[in-house]
Amino acid sequence: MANHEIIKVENLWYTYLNGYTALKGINIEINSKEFIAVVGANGSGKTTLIKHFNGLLKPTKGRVTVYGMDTRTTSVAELSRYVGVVFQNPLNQFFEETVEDEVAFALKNFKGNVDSEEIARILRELGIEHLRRKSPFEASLGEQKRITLASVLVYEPDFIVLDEPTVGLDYKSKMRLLKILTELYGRGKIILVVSHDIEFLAKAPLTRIIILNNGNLVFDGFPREAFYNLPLLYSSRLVPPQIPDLIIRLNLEKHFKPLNDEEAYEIVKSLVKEALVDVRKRY
Amino acid sequence: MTYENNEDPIIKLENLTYFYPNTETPAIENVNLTIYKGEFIVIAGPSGGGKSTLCRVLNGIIPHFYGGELKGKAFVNGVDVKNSTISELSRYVGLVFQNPVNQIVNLTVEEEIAFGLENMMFQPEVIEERISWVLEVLNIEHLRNRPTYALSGGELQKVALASILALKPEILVLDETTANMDPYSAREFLELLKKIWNETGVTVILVEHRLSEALQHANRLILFNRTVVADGIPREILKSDLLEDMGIEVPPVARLSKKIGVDNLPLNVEEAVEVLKEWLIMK
Repeated sequence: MANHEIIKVENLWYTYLNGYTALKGINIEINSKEFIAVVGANGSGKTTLIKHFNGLLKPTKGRVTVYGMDTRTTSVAELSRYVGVVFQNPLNQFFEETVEDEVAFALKNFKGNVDSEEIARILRELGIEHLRRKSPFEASLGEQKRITLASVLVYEPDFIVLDEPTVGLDYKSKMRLLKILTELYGRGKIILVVSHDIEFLAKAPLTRIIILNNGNLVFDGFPREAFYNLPLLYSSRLVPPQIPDLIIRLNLEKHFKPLNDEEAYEIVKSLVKEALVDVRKRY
Repeated sequence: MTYENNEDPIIKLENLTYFYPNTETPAIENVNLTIYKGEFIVIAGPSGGGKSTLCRVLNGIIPHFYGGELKGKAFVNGVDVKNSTISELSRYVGLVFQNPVNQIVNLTVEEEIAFGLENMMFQPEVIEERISWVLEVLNIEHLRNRPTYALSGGELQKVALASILALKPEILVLDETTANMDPYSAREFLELLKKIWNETGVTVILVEHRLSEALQHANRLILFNRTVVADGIPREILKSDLLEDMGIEVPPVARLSKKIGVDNLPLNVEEAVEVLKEWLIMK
């Protein structure tokens, strides 16, 4: 391995069997620990893209490498050691009789032994301890999403990919999920979240945001830059988070660019202290 | 807008309690709720809090399809749900689910919309007229002859709504209909719903997680967790800490305004601009 890209996507094209081209020449490099969001309208190619990270889909044209391994010539099982993908619909990935077995499955395969204390800890962290001996099919959708997350978190792959993790979760569960992802990122994992949940993303400590539109990569950069670029968002069929939208309408974006209400509140507090006079003149 | 003074209730629930078959804990308990003709109601609550159960009672699939035990009284359009049938109640109540795939059964959009009308024995001319009307209202005339399997998620959801709306129900119940849509499509969908409400005066009951988009349209907000926890004007309920306590997402602009001590809480970004300008001037 000459270079140190963890993930490298080079001129990736993907055309489905029915002739639909979902990805049109995507280039992405991930070199170090990051907290990345991939956003885009329904049908923009997000899910198609992430299926390339663990080799579930192979490029029609171009190349995807994971730690230097070409996904075309590496098995999904091997890639999955490094790339854990949590899919949107949990029912597509359950096959064990109890939640505990479901969560232990990957651990058994990749590490050979199962630490039931570790499983219990993860289930507790995700608030689904009570389901341990139950069937994953009995759980509610929100709980099922947490079971799939647990089954990936438990074997600690370096690169954790989550497809629409907040769908069907209430606010409390979302905030709990955000805390878990933030901790994982803090421990050196690469987190990549595909999400429509723009307010959730506005609260996440993202290092980078990638916007897909109709199979093309139209933005790859800082969240603050993306969330304050209304033409970019609207042309990609996205909506801005409320706070950037508000700040832009108040014509204050040259002064500060908060992404969420907490950041905005901090600014307001300091404003009240110092710069009130200036703002008063404005109106 | 107030509906209580001069209108008869279109839905009246009295001490309503429901147990799914073979369960000992009621899914909903002691629900007392009166809804008036022409209201636009948002129901919010934590996952697993019985919101879908409540919706199912309104068109009779609980108890007539699910079985279980329904205690108390439920009247829809003056009809006692217990002594009625799903097909009778479906004439008054149109229920749109979260997952449109669950309710779409026909090959083309036109056939899908005609299906319910044919079942209700409408004359061919009426069917034709209703199809044209509903396609126009929802602005999906271009989808008329499209196969349903080739539609995007957002389009499917509009077709599901169209097939319900074509029956001209008195009450439209939408159970987390926007959950799988991207924010742009969700916003579009809710604006469409508002338009339909304006044009037809249908009573709308919207179960929704995304309060940021939904609240601005509603005259009334009901917080539901197995029973009615709060019931009132959205702005008033936002002032309390009930939403946070129940784990429901508060629109970020409302949260910010609340933190800085604004009395008149904004429900959307437009209102927030006005409210905050005023606040800044006062300071």
